[in-house]
Amino acid sequence: MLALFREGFWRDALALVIVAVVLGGLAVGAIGRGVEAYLTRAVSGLVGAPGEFDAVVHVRQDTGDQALRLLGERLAQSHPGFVYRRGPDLAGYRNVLIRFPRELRTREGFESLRSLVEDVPGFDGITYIVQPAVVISEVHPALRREFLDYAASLSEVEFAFASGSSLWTVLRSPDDVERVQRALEAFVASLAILDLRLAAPLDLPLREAMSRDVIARLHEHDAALRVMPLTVDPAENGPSADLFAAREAIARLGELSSQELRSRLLEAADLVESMANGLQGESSDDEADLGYVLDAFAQAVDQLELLEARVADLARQLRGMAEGGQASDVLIALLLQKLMERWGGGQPVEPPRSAVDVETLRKGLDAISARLESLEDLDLHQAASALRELATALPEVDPEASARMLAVIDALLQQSPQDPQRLLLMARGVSDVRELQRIVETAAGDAVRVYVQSAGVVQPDPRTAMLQLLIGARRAATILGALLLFLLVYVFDATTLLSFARRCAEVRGESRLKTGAEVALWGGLFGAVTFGGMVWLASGSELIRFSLTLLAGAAMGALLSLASERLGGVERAPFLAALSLGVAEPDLVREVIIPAGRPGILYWLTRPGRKLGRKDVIDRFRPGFAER
Amino acid sequence: MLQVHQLTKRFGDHVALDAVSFDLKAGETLAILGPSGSGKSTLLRCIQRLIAPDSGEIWFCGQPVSQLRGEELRAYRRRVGFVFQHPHLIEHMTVLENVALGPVMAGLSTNVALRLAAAALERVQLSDKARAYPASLSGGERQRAAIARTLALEPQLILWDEPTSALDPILVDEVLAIMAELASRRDRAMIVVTHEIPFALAVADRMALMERGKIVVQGEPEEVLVGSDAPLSRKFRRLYEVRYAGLYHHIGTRRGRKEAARSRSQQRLAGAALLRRLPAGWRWKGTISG
Repeated sequence: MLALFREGFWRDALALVIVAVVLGGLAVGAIGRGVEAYLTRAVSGLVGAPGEFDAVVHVRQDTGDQALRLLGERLAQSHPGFVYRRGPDLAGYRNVLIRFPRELRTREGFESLRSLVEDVPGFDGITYIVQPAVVISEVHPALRREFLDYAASLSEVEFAFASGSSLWTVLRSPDDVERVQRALEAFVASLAILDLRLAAPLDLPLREAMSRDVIARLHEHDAALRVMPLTVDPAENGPSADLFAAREAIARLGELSSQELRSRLLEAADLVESMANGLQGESSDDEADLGYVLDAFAQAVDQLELLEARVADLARQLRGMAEGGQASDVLIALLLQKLMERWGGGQPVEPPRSAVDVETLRKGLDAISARLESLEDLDLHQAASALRELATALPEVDPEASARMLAVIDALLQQSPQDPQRLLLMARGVSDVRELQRIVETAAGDAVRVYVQSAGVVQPDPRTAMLQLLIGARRAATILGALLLFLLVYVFDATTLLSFARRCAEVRGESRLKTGAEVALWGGLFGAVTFGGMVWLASGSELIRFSLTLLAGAAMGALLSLASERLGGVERAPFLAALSLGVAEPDLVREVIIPAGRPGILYWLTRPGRKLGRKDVIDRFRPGFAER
Repeated sequence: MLQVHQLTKRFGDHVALDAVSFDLKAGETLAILGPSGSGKSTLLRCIQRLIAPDSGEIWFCGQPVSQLRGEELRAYRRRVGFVFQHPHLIEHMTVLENVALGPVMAGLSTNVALRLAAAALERVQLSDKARAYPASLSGGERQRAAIARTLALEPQLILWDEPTSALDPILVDEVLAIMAELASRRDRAMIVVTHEIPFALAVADRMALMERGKIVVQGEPEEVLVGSDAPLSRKFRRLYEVRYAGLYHHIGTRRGRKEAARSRSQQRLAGAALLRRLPAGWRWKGTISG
């Protein structure tokens, strides 16, 4: 090959590379940009131009135009500044594009959209497309508040809002996307959720002990690391938060022992009874006994009030969920019904208003108490009997029933920290996740499997993500285009030259191994320059690293050189014939080999300089030409 | 003019040429005969430097060929023409362009080259096919075009590598006639690798028999074919007797018929002498291959 270049063919080879790179690069660039432009137009057609709309409401197609009309009415009633437009129907859903009025571009405004439209028939969710924004998805409920607060604290962030398990940080300027994304990524990276899967269910105290142990071990290892059990703020919005709150209420009911209240009522009844007997016996300790009885009554009333408050709390939580239209409606209603039946004395009751007749209970106790205080017209025996009746009438809090209800709720809460086989911890100030996992594994023992999860995933908003996908599509189109053109140039031109080099080496009597290595080297060089050049010209280093394309091109070129004889082998016969006529190698390539092969770039490049194989040359010949 | 000394070429373990040595004077014709795979074609290719020999040396007009590089080598190749077993015409060029390729690439102007080519085509009586493409020619015409291509460069030495072996028997005559005519001029040396024993006897000044990469016998054709007791000579002699014994009857001359009546040994000698005296343009009437 070098001999061929030395004889002057380097100009042809250089021209081949330049033309291949320039034409290929321009063609590939055009293909890539064409693909991107087409897809961008397609995206804009689907969800509007960037910044034009903030959300897409999905409504089932079978609900007809009525649903859309109702949706429009709801939005108009809520705020006249809402702009909405019917988008394309896709996969059985109608999509309504919505732009928020300026006044509602707040956290509350965005978070209230769901409640505004969720009862529209056929409603099937909202996709936010507000821009510019950075989204943190897969956020654990326990961290949602913290993330929102942190995001809102960034100066570049206009506001942040939650949607399901994702948090949206809406930025003031598109230029800030990268900066905010980096800041959020750093924040997320400093947190880690340690999910310890226990080999067998453990009671809460044991789990707490284990949790304390792990935390202590982690603290020993890194004092800067702050680790705590993962708990959910009941005030947090969302279905998971509602369930957590309901769970909390049931757990607290379980803590409140009706047995204790009953024993206090029975104790009070006994005292009243003994007081009655004492009065009959003219006892001198009447004053002291009365004080004691009144204390007992006060405690019973206090406990009753506490019970009433907690039942009301639970009822409120469950009612909120039952009215929320969640998927767990039926389950919650059943749960509520069961609970109320128990507290309502075994009779089916309408939840939650007639849950427990504690009001009557309290009134009875209050009346007894008042009478005791006045000691007027009081039949103490009758009072003791009433107290006993009250104690008997107290509803049972069945610990088993409570546990079953808790289990049902825990099953609903997939990440419930109350799972008896799971222990969830949160670590702050994490620097090395692998090291953290190792330490926790050591601390927890072999029977525990430890998973370290990130606290969330920071990503651009869907439109930006889509644009990134478009860049990916452009990258793929660029690579595929460059690959295709490179293969064409290689097969049509390079293989001919490489095969020619093999033929020349055969004539020189060089070994096959040496020839193969030389051809692979030249093939690799051609591949690197041509493929790398095409991709670079098509996209610079914007899409793919230049060094990578060089390497890929070199590898492809070298590999393909092994098949150069099959892909574009030079026929031995015309080669030897021309060689035997003393034709120089470059002329042989230009006049004999290339015109006889496939019409690649070299064919067109060498055509103007060719001396033979041209019509004007043939036309010169006429009979008697030799004598002239 | 040409000296070949101890020329050796191996292809892996196979020894294609084993210390081959011979001389060739200007205007002399050397016929090389031998069984297939004996190294005849390899010898010619080594002489034209289409194959690099492993050892030995070739001198052409007193110049060592192995030292030649670049333009010197190409000039040497132009002085040493090569006619292949197959015509090896370039299919995308007309016959005229095929023939003009050598002169054009030698640096002559296209017009001069085309005139040389046209003249060469006239010599092989193919002028009427000058504008035709090789695909439209018969086998004999293609081989004649290949001969014209070689002649267009006016080489001092022509190497013929069994130019008739791939031809239909009917077409052999037209090619052999041209070769016989060229040999009779004695204005250029020729090395002819052939299986046509009568032809070799007719045109060669000297003959060499090759076997397993070696020249086993060389000398005057009669001496090699008839006078030698070498096994290969005997083989060729028998072959000649079997295939060509009836040749004299077909010649149709009185002398031939007279010679045919003689004893077999005398017949062979006389036959050889007769063939050597054949006039230029003599045709074999298609009986050579028996």
